[in-house]
Amino acid sequence: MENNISKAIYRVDGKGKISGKAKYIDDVKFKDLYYAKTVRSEIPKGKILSIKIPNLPKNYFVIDKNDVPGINRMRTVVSDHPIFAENEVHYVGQPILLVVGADREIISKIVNEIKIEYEEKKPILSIKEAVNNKAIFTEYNYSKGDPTKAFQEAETIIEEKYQTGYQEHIYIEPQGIVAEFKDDKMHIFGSMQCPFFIEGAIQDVLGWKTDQIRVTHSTTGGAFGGKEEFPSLLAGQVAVASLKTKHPVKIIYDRNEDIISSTKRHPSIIHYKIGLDKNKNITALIVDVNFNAGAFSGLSPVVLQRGIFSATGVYNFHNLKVTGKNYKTNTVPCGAYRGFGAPQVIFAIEMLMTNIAKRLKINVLDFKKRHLLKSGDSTATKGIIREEVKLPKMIEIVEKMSNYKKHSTEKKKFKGMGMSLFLHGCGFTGKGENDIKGKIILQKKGNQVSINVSSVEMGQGAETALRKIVSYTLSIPIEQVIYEIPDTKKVPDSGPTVASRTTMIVGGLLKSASVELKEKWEKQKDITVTRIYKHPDFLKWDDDKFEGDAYPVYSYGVNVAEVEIDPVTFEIDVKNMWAVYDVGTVIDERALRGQMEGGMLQGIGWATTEVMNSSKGKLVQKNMTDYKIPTVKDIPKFQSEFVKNPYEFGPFGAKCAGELPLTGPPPAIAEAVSNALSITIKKIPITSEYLMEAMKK
Amino acid sequence: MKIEFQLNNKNEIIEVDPSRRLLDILRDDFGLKSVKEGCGEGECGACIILLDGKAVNSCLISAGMINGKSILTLEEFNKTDEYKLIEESFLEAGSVQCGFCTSGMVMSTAGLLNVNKNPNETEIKEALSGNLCRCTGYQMIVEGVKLAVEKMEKEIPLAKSQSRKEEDNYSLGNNAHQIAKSQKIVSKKGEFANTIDEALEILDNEEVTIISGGTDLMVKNAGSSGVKPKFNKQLLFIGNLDQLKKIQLIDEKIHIGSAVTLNELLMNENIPEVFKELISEMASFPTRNLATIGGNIINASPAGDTLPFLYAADAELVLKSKQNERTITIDKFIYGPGKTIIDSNEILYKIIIPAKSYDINYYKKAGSRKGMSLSKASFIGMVDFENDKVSDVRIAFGAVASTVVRSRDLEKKMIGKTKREIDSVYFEVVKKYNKLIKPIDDSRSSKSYRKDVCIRILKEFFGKIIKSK
Repeated sequence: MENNISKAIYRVDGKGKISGKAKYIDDVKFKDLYYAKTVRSEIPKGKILSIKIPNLPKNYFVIDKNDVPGINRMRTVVSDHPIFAENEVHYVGQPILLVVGADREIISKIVNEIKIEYEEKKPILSIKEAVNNKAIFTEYNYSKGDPTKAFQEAETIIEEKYQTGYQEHIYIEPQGIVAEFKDDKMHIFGSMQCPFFIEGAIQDVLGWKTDQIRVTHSTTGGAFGGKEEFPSLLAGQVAVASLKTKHPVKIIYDRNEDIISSTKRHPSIIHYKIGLDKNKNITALIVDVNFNAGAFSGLSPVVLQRGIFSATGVYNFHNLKVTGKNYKTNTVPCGAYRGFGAPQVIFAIEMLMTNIAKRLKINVLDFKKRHLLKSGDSTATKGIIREEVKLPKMIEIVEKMSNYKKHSTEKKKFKGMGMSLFLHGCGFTGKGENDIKGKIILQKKGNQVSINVSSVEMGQGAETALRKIVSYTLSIPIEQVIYEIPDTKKVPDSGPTVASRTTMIVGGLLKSASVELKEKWEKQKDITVTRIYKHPDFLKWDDDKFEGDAYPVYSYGVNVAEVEIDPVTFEIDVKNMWAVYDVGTVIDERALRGQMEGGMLQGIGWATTEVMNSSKGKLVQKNMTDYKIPTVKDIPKFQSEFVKNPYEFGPFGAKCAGELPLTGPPPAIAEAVSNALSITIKKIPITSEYLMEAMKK
Repeated sequence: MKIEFQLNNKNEIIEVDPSRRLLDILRDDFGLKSVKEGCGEGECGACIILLDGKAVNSCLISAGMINGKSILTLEEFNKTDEYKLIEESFLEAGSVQCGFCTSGMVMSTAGLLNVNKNPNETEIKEALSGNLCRCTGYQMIVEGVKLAVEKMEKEIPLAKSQSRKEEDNYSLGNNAHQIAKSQKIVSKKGEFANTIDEALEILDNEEVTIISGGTDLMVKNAGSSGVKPKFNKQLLFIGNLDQLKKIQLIDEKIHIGSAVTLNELLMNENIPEVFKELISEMASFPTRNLATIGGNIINASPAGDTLPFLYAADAELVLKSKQNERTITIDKFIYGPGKTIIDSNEILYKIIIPAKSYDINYYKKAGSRKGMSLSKASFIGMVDFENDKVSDVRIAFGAVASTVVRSRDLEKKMIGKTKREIDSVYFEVVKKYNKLIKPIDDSRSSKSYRKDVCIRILKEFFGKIIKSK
């Protein structure tokens, strides 16, 4: 059985979802439920002078900062976002108060009657303005080798600037949380990635101990990072509301408020300075990564860390200096989004390699191959690449799939192909896993085995993958393996459902526990096996110097994109995406194919149609009509293959997979467009407007 | 207001505010939670249900529009044999991840299979064009539907014998049985009209907002989720009036009732192909099942996609009031963004276009994606030749000025020219259109792109004339 782990099985949660029976948070009934609606800042920066609240009907409430019994801050990496605005507001959409009651019509009427007077202050609205004002949240740097000397010796020096835009998650299920205060306990239900993050946030907001707090996961309709830290804010707000009103309180975002106020992928400006020797090999690199973090820091420091640790992509450079800054602006806070800072930087390094090779009139792929990382090489942070790097083999495969050599050399007007090479560091950055020390419990009762973990199913297939790992290890039918709904009162904290860590880390712990359970297995006996994550001794990381193994292992990908461009309108049509991935061992071929294709389409969207700009501190695209994710009519033909490269410490050899596929399409598409039109591309999204201007030059 | 309809094969009579969204009625009043809300503006498709067998967005439908209709949700559909095959196919193809879009996908599939038992990939994609999914990349959903089609051919032989009949294309689903159309509903304060005369009578006496397909008004006036849309007048529902649903060919002219939906136009054999091409690029399949041609005209949006064709075709609009009937060409009817000369007691009765196809028919739309794309700019150009000379030419631009741009003077300059001579007026024509095109910057595009793209399209059109056989 173990040998066939990759062979696809039906998703365990499939039937419930296809039949429409699965209950998401907005589908669950609560007795005596109150609804909550948020009143938000309409200005990017200012002082609140007054809030005029109309006479409230009986059993209607306004909940604000004064109702918070504990700390009025959302707990995360940097706990700086107020649960409710205090005297000042810092971005358009910042929550100020909630209106709570039983009837949404009456709530809506009250919300419309609330008048807020501000004293407006001059906001900082872009990275550029933040640079001028030195508005910086976080600043990091690290280096390797001797970049100064290397630049002195360089034959050629090239400087370039790359830019990427916002990306909004557009999980189809909007944000939603219910808080129920009962018997002196606070129970939170909702759409989320990280039940224990919310438990922590509620602890702060209410000033309570964890024994009074319970968080239960609801079926989650997509997240992609958007439900990592952000739901803690909603949970904090409705917890306060439920405590005050003594009713369960539900908050479900309308799509437009979700778009204007929820976290996004950080827009970036990335500067590169490259030194090359006389053989046209890169000898030195300076990278400066700049993220617009928005009005609050939140999770941004760790996003920036992953961003700067990805600065060299799949390449090995000996002399390196990397700096990174998170800028503070009066715009919507950015946070976790699939890829977590890496896709921005990988886009930049891939396009840099392409553009430099073209400028030096060298074959792009040859130039990239010359600099490829291989096993035993040191990473940007002087860690060690321990796994075999199968990129050369993967390139061969993708070339065959796409007939790349033939098509990429043929000059066809308005048609082009591009290839991207990329990687993703698996699991948490640096000592992250060691700090969290995820715990899992496997319980055998009779012939049933239950999985107790805090990793949630949010569409990615975690429930299927984890049950499969246990079932295959124990050689018992998957129906005998139960996945307990993550509930902080029932399951241990195995860490958040983020960083592509669930299969590899949590699945790894379950695999190891299953092996022990198998050894101890006695038909009549109830057995419990517990595992706590132990960081492998060989992994070294210095968090002050940013030196060592930033990740235990990497997953790799190669993409080829084929595009056709409308010669009149410059609309981009992505016709084909060919992909080869190394994710160690595939846990379920079908589920993984779904992850890869879905991830690729998010990458395609980010690179092409998903335009999001901010003007005077307000997002211009603030609904699904204007913020355009790809439709079924926009998809290319996807073809993916996997190479096997088992990782010793992953279950059945599995590495990370979920975030990897989003990273590849933007540089592949950008290169394809650049080949089709003979122009240089340094920015995404690549809009028709951008191409129209570029073609004029 | 009392509404009578059939829901999942049961007759229901409810007392409800006629403006309330069907989505809220289904979820909150009937507890049908398979119907999801993802956007509330007809974009995501998570709320798609079948209305008289057709897939539609329930967030765009107000209670008044369902009177006398039949509704099917997944709660009932999932009991059928057809559903079982879809479920099996979706599992096999990996069509599901987070599941939030899935009930809408299943219902769109059901709607498709009602009219087409053997759809090809393009038709499947068209049917799912109003369902957004952020997890799967769609390919595995399309494969799921394909698989379901194959299974149905094998396992439900009946399906095969019910081959596609044009006339029956919008028949009811297997499980939906329409209840009697003759509604015995008291017209209280002019909310319902059963005939056009009743509608005109109401219009003559009361201040009302006319609502037909609702796809625009329901979004414009939308409140928050669960809150009824904010209409400041009573609603007069005309979408059901038989007299407004006809398409007739009379003396070489096509008379289109104002409540004819966009998909009904696509199914009609008399509608000029180029008009169909343009319509097929509008909105999404389920939204086109609701949206009406009359609505697109009355809305008078600069980006209204039927308008450039209607201008180019010199469409005549018949306006009716209790006392009067008048006919006016569309360029005299619309005078600004959202502005028309219609009187408050008038109804747009029908639209008359020539049943004519030109020698050259060229339509081009610049959008930012292929499905559900609003125009950044659109263009229609039609040319007829006689003795190798241009005998008739029509050119219209949409979304690049406050109303459609059409210049008869510039068209005249091209008339009488041979294909070779047409080049000689090219520069003058381009220069003058350049002055007429006055686009703006907005959330969708920029002024300069819109201008440039229009000129490029015009150039392409001239090329087509010169190169034509």
